[in-house]
Amino acid sequence: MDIGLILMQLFNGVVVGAVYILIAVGLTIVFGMLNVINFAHGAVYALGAYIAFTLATLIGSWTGSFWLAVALAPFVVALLGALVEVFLLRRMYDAAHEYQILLTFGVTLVIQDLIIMIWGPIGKSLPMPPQLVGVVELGDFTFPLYRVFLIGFVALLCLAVWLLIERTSYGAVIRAGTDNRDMVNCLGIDIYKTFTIVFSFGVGLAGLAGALSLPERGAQPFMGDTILTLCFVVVVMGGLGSFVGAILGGLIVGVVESMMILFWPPGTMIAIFTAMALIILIKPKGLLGFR
Amino acid sequence: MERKGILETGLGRRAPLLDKETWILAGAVLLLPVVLPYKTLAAEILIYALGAVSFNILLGFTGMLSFGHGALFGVGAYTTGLLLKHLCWHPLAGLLGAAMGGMMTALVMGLLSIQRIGLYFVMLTLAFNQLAFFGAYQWKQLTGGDDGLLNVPRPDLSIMPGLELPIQSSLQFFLFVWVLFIVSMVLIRRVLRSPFGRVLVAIKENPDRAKAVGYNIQRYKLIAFVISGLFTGLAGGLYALFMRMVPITAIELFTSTDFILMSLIGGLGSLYGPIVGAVIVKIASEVLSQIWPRWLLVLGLTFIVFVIFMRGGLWAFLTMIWGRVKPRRGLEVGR
Repeated sequence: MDIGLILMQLFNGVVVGAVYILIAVGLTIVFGMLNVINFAHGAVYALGAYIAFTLATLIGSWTGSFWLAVALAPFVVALLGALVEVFLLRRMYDAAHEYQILLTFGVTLVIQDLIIMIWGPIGKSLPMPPQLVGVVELGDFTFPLYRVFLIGFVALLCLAVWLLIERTSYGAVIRAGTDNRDMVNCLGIDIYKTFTIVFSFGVGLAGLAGALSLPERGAQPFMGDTILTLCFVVVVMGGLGSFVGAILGGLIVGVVESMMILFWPPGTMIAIFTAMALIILIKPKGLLGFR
Repeated sequence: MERKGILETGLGRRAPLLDKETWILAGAVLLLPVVLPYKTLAAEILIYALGAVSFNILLGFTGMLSFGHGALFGVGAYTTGLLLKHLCWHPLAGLLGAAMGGMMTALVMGLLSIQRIGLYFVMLTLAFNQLAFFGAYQWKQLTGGDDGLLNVPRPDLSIMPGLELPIQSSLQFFLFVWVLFIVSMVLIRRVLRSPFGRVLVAIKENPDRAKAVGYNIQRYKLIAFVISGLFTGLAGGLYALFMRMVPITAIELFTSTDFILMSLIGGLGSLYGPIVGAVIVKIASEVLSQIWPRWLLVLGLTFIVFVIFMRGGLWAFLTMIWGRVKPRRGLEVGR
């Protein structure tokens, strides 16, 4: 097979992986801190795309609209996330895992139906921002500019999040909370406030992922369903609660997906979910997990 | 409510196969086609109710949340569909195939899934459901892929040579489903209200203690999974007969989540709760969807309210009211 085609698919795999990473990082941070797996994360991703769409059209089609939408949408989503955490999730911390899953699953139903109610069942799309139309030429290869931008942006963002978690005193609270939240609470830090912030931050990242996918994939009410299960694969692969694991997992799943599409398309999803089942069974802590 | 010892409540003994409870259930369910606007809905409700009750054997009685029951239901549906389509068998043979198919799938899925607990169990069952879905989706020659398995025949029920019971009209088919539903419920009740069933509940309440007492909890979990798969597969087979086809949606994750919705709204802690849930959810989806297309929003909100405030579901609510009206003795719930 043509080596150029393989390299091209490798690049596309990284692009797909970048979106998975954004969603999975939120999923894994929330799990690490709150010990809750958020089944509504996929619906939030869709919501992010729709909110970005509305913001972009509201502000008009002037050139900066896409940027403003991308910048604002995650905050709107994060605010909604904070409300969900304070009013719903907080009641569930003492409950069994099963009930937390059921609660966030119920939130998914509500979000998806609200989306259909507000924006209609047919998807929305937004033209590519004019600054990002075009290609980057690198030797014999041409890469769509938007995809190059996406990789760079996600890489920078991951670096920023990593610095935030590893190098700031606030990150220290998050890390400590992931290790032992009762102890953090005993040390006089308001753990519930931290929970709210971490949850809305994670949800905001999913919203950002939705906003960033808008120009290429558009927005559909149920776009989060498949991607959520794929991001479960990502976090399980990397290790639940592990930030670097989510990045690694996202890259692996993205690249495997695009390579399978090249070599044997029908087996793509089957391969990915088989891999997930095998990892849970053989190495449940994942590649870099600790729980 | 005061807690009684197992011997006092009689829960440690096997429930009788047929008693007043069975007749009340059979009679109540028989009212469905009378009160519902169309008869086909009644059969569909019973099929889903059987699926939800089977699902609840795991969540409500053993404490395992499975997102994989869509796969069991779908395998049952495809098995019946393929048997009847290509081998032209007796409908009961097709359904037996569905039950066996559901059982075998549950055996494999269960054997692997019960290796992990909690979140990882949920994720494993979810992965298996996705595997089954994408498998069915891609294997077009066998399953018809996206279009579904079309033209599944619904042959008449031949009891013996010369005597054939037609199950073509919606009322005839409802009665056919009704008989199988009641038989299944009697069997499931016998399993759950037996010493075996009490061990399952013990595993749900405190797995470590159940283990310490000396039960092989892995074996119990697996048997519960297989029994659940058997009846879910049967429900899937009935669905194939009902639809006269197998849509790809039968094996989707949404089927799993349907069972979860029904069980939780109806009541996890009781045997009959999921039936109430199936009635409510299916009527809501058929009737309300014509009035207001966004009824799912209401369902989602109801679901959240139930998760937070009423984990016993509607059934617990009904038994509470029943207990007020008739304080002598409340209906016995599963736990």
